[in-house]
Amino acid sequence: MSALPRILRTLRRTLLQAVPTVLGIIILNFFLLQLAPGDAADVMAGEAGSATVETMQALRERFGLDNPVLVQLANYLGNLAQFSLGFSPRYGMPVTELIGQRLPGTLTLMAMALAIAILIGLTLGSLMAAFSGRLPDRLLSIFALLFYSVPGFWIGLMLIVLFSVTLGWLPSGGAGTIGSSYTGFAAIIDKARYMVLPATSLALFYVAIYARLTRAAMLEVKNQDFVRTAYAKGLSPAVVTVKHVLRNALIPITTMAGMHVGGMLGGAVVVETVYSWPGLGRLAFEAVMGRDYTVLLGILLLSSILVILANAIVDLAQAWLDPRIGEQK
Amino acid sequence: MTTETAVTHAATPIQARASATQAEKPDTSQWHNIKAPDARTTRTASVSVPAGRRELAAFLRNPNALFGLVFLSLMVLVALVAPIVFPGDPLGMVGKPFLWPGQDAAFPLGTDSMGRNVLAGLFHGARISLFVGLTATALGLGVGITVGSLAGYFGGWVDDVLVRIIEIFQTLPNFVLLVVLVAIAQPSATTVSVAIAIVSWPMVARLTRAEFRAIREKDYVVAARSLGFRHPRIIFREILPNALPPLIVTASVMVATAILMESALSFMGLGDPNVVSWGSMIGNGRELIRTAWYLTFLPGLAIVFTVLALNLIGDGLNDALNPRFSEERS
Amino acid sequence: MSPASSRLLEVENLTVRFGSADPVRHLSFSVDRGETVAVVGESGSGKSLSALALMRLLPRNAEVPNGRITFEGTDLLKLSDRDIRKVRGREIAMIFQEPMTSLNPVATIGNQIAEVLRLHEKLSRKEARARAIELLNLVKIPDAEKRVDDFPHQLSGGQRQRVMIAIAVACKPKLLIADEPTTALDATIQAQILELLDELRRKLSMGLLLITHDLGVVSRWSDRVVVMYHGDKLEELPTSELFSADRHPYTRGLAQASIRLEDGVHHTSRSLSEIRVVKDLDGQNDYQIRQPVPRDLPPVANDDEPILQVDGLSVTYRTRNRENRALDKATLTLAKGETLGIVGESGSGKSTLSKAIMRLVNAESGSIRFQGQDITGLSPNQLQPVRRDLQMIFQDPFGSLNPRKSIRDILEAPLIVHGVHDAAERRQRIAETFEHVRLPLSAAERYPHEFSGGQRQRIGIARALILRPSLVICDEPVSALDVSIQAQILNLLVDLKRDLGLSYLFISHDLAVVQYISDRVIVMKDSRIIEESDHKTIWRQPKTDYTRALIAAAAGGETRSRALAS
Repeated sequence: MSALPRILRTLRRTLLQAVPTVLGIIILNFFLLQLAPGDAADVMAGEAGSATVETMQALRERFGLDNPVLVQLANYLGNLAQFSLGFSPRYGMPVTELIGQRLPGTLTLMAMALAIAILIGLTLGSLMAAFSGRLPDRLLSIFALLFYSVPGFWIGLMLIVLFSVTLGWLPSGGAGTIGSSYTGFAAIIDKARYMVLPATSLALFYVAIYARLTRAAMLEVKNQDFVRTAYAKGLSPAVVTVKHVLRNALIPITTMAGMHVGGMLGGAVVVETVYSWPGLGRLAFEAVMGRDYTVLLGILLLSSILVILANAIVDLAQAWLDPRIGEQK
Repeated sequence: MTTETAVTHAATPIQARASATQAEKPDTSQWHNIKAPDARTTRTASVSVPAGRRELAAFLRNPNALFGLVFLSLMVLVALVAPIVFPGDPLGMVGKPFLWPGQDAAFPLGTDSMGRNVLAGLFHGARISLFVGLTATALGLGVGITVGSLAGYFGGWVDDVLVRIIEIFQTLPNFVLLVVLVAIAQPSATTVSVAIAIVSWPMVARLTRAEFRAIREKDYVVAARSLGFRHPRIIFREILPNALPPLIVTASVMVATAILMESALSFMGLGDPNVVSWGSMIGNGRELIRTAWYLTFLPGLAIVFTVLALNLIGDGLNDALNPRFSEERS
Repeated sequence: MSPASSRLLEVENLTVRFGSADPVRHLSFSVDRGETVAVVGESGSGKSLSALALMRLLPRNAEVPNGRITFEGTDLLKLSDRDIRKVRGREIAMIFQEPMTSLNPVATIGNQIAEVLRLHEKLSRKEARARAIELLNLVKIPDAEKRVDDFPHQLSGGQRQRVMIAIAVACKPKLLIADEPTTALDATIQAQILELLDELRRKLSMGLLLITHDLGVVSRWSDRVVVMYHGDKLEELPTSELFSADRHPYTRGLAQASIRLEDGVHHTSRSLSEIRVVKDLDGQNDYQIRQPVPRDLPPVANDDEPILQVDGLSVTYRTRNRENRALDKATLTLAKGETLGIVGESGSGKSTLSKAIMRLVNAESGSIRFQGQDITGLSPNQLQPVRRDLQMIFQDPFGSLNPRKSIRDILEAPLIVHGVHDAAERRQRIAETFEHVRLPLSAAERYPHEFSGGQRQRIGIARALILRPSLVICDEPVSALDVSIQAQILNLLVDLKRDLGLSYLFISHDLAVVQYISDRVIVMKDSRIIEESDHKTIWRQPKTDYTRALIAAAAGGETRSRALAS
């Protein structure tokens, strides 16, 4: 029996369910935009230092800021239908393009952090479950809880103090050596050197989360009747853990992992400001400082869609892991 | 007396022992339904004592939880006495700038670039952290429990609508939404608390809903319905008390998360500009990290230990309220 | 004593210890090749722990301080972890009570069977798969070639238990331990599974160790019986002597408390024996049997208007994309003072029927008349006075009491809701009800977890009676209880009916229980009522094949029912 039809059914269901959520988010987004005090014209006028009522009016007309709310909503939706998130007066370019420039930076950072978190988290969690109640478990549990309690931006700064300032091993910020002419492997190494610290700062919290989750899920599954069946077959503890416990434990772990993608995006915002990493987070920060709400809400919308995509991937992973999902009944 | 009471007597010593030593010694077995009735008689003996005395005892016997409780009490005390011990404005210049900790006995933890007393900042920072943490959690719990219990209890279209709303809020990345909300509302301790509550209630709602859906199907709730109990009585007297344990655990973790969020906001300069907060202290010290790293290090420690204390309490509560998980820790 | 060569397993002086408690003490028994030995006992007897101890599968926090488990000349307790793994699944195999959870949900059944073959017989993937199909055929799963790739959730409970058996017998073990193998299954399936086990035992000449609480199962399928109570072995006897008079008093009590369909006992003819276990001065258990004197019941009043009239009642459960007709045009009447038994297997719609009558789920069509009043469409407010007269007793004594309320709160709340505002009167009513269900008044201030299953069921009954109802719906009220407790609760229900003039709608999957308590019986299958008859006729002249099959299963398979008929 193939898992493919099941997975496709799940995909269809997930996508259908996402439609109302996306709509709700768009409308929420728009009204948040309306709530924002002042508008881009105010900000630009403020920055220019001198602005007459006429120039302000001209600016507003140019960006359609003087229309009634519903017209603006219609415009907003119309623009979205063309994949346009509006125009940033401040950066002088379409928001989509602006975000498009920064997105890859954030995605790479998150991917790296996620990889670190899952790899280390699963390992630590399995170890904790294997030694549950004994010294290794207790020590690791306390470490996990510590990581869980440390603010990402602070650990980021502390890593800079240690690895950049004191030891001088790694760069303290940026995304690559400026003006370097590295190619091929050297370029990757250069990039990686800049990524180690931000990715680690972002990952630590999630290492803790995944480790705790894995521990709990593994212990839960270990208590199941079918694990007893596996032992009664004469399988060794290692085989039971890998073949029976882990696969079942991965099901709740993937659910939770999916739920943390949004959180990780938020974490990226802070970590990027610490390391001047050119990503969405930095852009969001700059947008807040510049009161550029169009950009800010564009980021919110786009990151929500990112979360929806991540959830869809998680749903698919679950359909693949768990034969009970997506069954036709 | 009926005959089976006599039968139970034989079991009583085992049960009594099981519940007395529950925290450190699991009662039956790792197979949770080794034999449904056997396991259940012993297990239920340990699940819920009404007044929560057993839970409290288990909680207080847990050294980690106790440490958390003591440290948190200390922080509350610090927050309460801050205006007495350091009566002046913690943002005011009181000494020479850049005094390292220990350099001047008047400023045991040193001064920052503006000559402000770091220790006074930490004391006053505790106020804002705890205020935001507690207010945001209270608001978030209130909204979340209301929405979650309505959705879980009534089901049907009420559930459909509420779940959609929960889903929308859960899809928006928490911290990004938080930044947007605070940026729009203008930062102050209150708006920051409200904003954190707005991003954190969906998790509570989801949890409450799940609990309500599970408990709604229990026979004692069916019995209450067949006895003609009204909805409020069933919700508040029958279901809610049984749904509380996981919510209590969540509450402590929520306070911790709220404190982390507040500090991150302040660090980015999005906190209340008129009060000193641990996050803003780190933000201010950030540019000087090469020369005076203690300015970022110390407030960070305050955050880490406070949050850690709350998480230790959360873990302790979890172990005390859900003995099933603590079993493996023995 | 049989000759040493035929001895397969010898357990001597086995004790299982958890901390300072010994749930199994100094247990000794043996199993010969090809023999079926039953270990019988109620919950807490230690029978399941003993079984796990044989496989060295006890939880980590348990220890075995003394004892010897000699299997084919080797002491299993002395084997290394590595060596015991070679015994598990190959020499000794085990099946468990819960077929729904005992299989790995994310692996195909074929792979789960193949796993044990590849481990012990080093078969290749292909060979193992072929053998898995053979084994599925052996345990009579139809379409084995196709189903070998199914996941457990695609199989019914009975089929899953067959798969468990296939796993267990895959390597032709010399001993098969079956721990309550049919307790979670419907009666018709139970009989088939036990027959299959017995057939395999003969085919593969295995020893079979059957762990059960069910004396009916023991008497039909075992050669010898070991009776356990609270960790002690009370006696060991040939099965043929199980029901003879000179047994240990506990065994006798157990035998008398169990009701068997073929005995045809009815509550009007005799009450059930109750076992009383008292600790004497030396701390030894003293076992007594008490048979309450049967008392006269007033005849069912047939001329009055029926207390309950259900007409063409249908219920459909709807979820977003599925419709499930849970009850299809049910029609029944219940006279005042009558007990109407409803029999059916899981999914037959009997619980939905009770919920619909209680107005806990809404009827799609049809009507319910209760005491002359049509209650089908009443609003919650209009229903309030009706609820006082119409109450319910639930199956699970552990789930039916709110764990966070004291017994007094549990009993007081209905009175408050129904307008008994005088505290003294409420106290009076509670005291009265306690007396009815024979609980000491001191129980009022305690909480549900402090009580045993039987006591909780009494509290559940008290809650149903506190409003002084006239009709009580009993939804599997004794199914979760041990036999000895079951006898007490059934006796209590009979007494209450007489003392308080109650009528019962008594739902159960257990034919013997229904036979004992009912005046009339209804049989349900697939959401429909398929047969109705008085309590004598239905067992002697069942009208439908399904009822015949149910009776046959309850009486122990084809052979038995033929014997019964002749």
